[in-house]
Amino acid sequence: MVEGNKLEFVKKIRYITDYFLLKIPLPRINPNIISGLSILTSLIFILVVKHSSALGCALLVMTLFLDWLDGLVARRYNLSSEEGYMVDVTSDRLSEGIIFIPFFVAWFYLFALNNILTIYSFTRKRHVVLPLRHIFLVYFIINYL
Amino acid sequence: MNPLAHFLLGLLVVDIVFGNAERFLFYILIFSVLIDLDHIIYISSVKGDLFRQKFGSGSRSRFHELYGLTLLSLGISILSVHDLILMQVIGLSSILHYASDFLSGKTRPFYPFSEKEVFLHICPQKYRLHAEIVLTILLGVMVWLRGISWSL
Repeated sequence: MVEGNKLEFVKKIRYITDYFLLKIPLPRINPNIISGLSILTSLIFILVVKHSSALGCALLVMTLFLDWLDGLVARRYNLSSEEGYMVDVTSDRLSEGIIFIPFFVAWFYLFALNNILTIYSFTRKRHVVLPLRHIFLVYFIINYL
Repeated sequence: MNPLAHFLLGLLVVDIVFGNAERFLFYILIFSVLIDLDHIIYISSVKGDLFRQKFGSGSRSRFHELYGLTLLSLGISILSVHDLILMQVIGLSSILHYASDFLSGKTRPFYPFSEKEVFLHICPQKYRLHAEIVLTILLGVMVWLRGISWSL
């Protein structure tokens, strides 16, 4: 499974955070639904960002939170699967595509690169993708808040 | 999702994000439904058996999945040098098509590298038709309320 082949330092960070976070009582929701919700929050982000940067920032944080939560719920209830990985990375790419459209240069170019890396990761069984939305959140806070 | 819902969704979102969607009506119409052209190949292959087979993930070619999204993002990135706003509109219309299909039905995201089918279970399959009809009407009403003109 590709999920198991993430970079070593990512695995170490996850091991430490999971030690504490997996003890938190979490609702048993289908992780795929949580992944899908991150696409919807991305869509709401581009609809409101022109009118309110603060609300846009909150939605961006919400998107990243949902992306993190789906993996956590899957690990908490042993629901991790190849299907879950596919849903997770596809949701991530669609979410990135939607978020980066209004900001385009150079974010959309990096999104195109991330799409190639996603297919590469899947075919080579090694998870190598750029955390673009996390970097974008920092960029957004610096430039728009 | 049906082509009308794809078009209305693209039209509504482009109008909210960029404003003045009428100016891009033709491009939104084309690029929000273009990806569905692979269904025509599928229809011709199943012939009279369409009602039993339905439009499952098997009716979607590689261009309807992450593979197609990758090619689209590359094409748009290159062509944005020529006309940025138009490429943003085309990109948004197309990505919304991929996203709405992914959220509403069964897909094979890594086809042709994997045949594995995924489904998000946001709306149960047996209510899908009802949900689609309600969503299409809702999108139509929202487009009408925003006063977007339809003439090409």
